[in-house]
Amino acid sequence: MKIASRPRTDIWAGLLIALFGGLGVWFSLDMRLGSAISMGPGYFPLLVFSCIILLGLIIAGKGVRGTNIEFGRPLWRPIIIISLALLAFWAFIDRLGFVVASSALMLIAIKAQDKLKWGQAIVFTAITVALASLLFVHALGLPFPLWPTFD
Amino acid sequence: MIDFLNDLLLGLSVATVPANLLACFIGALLGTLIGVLPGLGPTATIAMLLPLTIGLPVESSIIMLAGIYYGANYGGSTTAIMVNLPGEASSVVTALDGYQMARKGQAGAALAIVAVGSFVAGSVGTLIVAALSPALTSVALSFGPAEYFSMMVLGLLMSVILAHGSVLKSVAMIFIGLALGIVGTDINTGVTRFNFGIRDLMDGIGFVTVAMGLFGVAEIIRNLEERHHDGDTVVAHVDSLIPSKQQMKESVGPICRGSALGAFLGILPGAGPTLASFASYAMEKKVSKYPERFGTGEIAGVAGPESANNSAAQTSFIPLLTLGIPTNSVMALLIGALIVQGIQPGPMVIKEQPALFWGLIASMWVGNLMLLIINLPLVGVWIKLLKAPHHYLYPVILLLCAVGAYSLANNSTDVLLMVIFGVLGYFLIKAGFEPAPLILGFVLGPMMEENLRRAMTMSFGDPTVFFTRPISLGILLFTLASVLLMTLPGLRKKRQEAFVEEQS
Repeated sequence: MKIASRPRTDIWAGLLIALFGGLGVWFSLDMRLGSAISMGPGYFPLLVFSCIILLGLIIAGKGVRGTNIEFGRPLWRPIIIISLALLAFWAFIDRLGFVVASSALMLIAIKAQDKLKWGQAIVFTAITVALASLLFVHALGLPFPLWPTFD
Repeated sequence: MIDFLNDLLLGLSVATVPANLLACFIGALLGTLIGVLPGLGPTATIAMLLPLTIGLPVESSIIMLAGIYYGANYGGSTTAIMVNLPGEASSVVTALDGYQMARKGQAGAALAIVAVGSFVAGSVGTLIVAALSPALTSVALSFGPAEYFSMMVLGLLMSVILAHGSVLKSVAMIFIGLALGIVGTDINTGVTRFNFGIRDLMDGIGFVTVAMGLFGVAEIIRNLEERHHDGDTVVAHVDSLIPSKQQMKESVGPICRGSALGAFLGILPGAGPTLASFASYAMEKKVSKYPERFGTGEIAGVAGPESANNSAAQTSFIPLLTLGIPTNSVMALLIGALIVQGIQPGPMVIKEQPALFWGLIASMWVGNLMLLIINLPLVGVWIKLLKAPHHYLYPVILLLCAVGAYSLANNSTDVLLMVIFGVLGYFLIKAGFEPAPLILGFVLGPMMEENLRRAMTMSFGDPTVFFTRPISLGILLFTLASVLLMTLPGLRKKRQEAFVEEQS
């Protein structure tokens, strides 16, 4: 899939940064600005976000004129799988406890590659989760519930 | 002189309490363990292990951090030598000759020399820190808010000058870091800013969370991608673990020169370890009788830069301890951890908490010693670990990150934030934006705002205060000169050459 012969990474990155700065300025203006002698909560943010807009525009501008860095095509599988694994941990830890949350994280994360079959993945997960439960919950006393709590 | 010795003894008495020694040992061991894994540089390693230290008493936690710090650095050098994958800029030079030695089967010798060289350099660095800090602290006490603000500008810009890639992009990253630092409650007025009604953001975004996402999770994703394209890393074969007499003799000079050079360069804000290792490599090449051997596995090319790197890492604690200003991303992590512990690093620490201050300095030395004790016998184990299949390692590391993020404040929201910063970090690196300046800006942001506000209030809103106070003006002129020097055409070319050399 070839979109363009010339990469436009810097142009897009610069514009996104400027947009981020723009949003920041917008929200800063909602707060009291104060004056230089006695700055309000919005003064410093306004300063910082204004600089961000400027920097974003300069980066984009240089991108229009000069060469851009090549933005290699992202490999989506690890990005999505690793995020999902951590999100599963986040979603389960409070209600379903450490054993369920960490098993979910491990089983999903392993599938970022095809190196392990499901059987191996389950065995490896079981061993790791058992050791981690002993280490984190029993030995270090981290305050997660081990098992699901229903109340 | 007597004072100096008494102070050091006080520090040693704190650092050598058995519980603290144990903390240091565990820190150094874990630091090396994670730091040795390919693709995880010292910054990522420290970010991942930070949550471990937070529950400990202040002194133990700092000493453990020192252990982690040295362990991570040594682990990074091991990876650079064994698989030619430098974890960060300062070990790039090590990989040049170190990997060539490893290919000849001399990795063990190189690693042993690195351990000894780092210890010598670390000891020299520690003494210099101990000797200079009290004097510089009294200078720092005369600093007003204007001077602090200028000093932070200097630290931020210097870190950018020596970073990889585009200076402009790094400056943008600093400002985005400053912006993220604004989130939370404004300490002067009590107004909550940019929390968008989310209760968990009222205290701001946790800096460990940001660091773990940007460095830990993002690196895990990037590693998986690289392995998908390039296959697994090839680990060099090891014949001997003990350097030959000839190699030991050839290392003495480079270790001494490297230690001295590094100790000097480390004090300059922002310059630090990277510059020291490059400068030492260049110097060894100049003084060597066989400059043509460099790049083919010359021991001097490993011993010198690694020593320089380590003593610079040590003396770069001076700006941190006396002014409370971090000059690189690792220092930013350490200062963040200190703030989490309720200590605001700066000139007051040495007066108000001498046991803590000298304990920290002594623990640096103990950390170095620990490394020597752990690593010389365990070199074989680290090499085995490098050969462990990656598909078993990364899910476990990910679990460690998740548990770490959760345990920071027993709050699952931190895990969610870590995912967001992880994905953000991945795309930033892809687009050529280094995340290191971001974390520096993030840590310095609140301090900069505070000092800017105070300076402006004291000058009745006159912004020229930064140029009319002599020390502040001096710092700003120095900053300007450095920036100009680095952006002038001739030197710009030099800088590019240095980085080209590092990529090849």
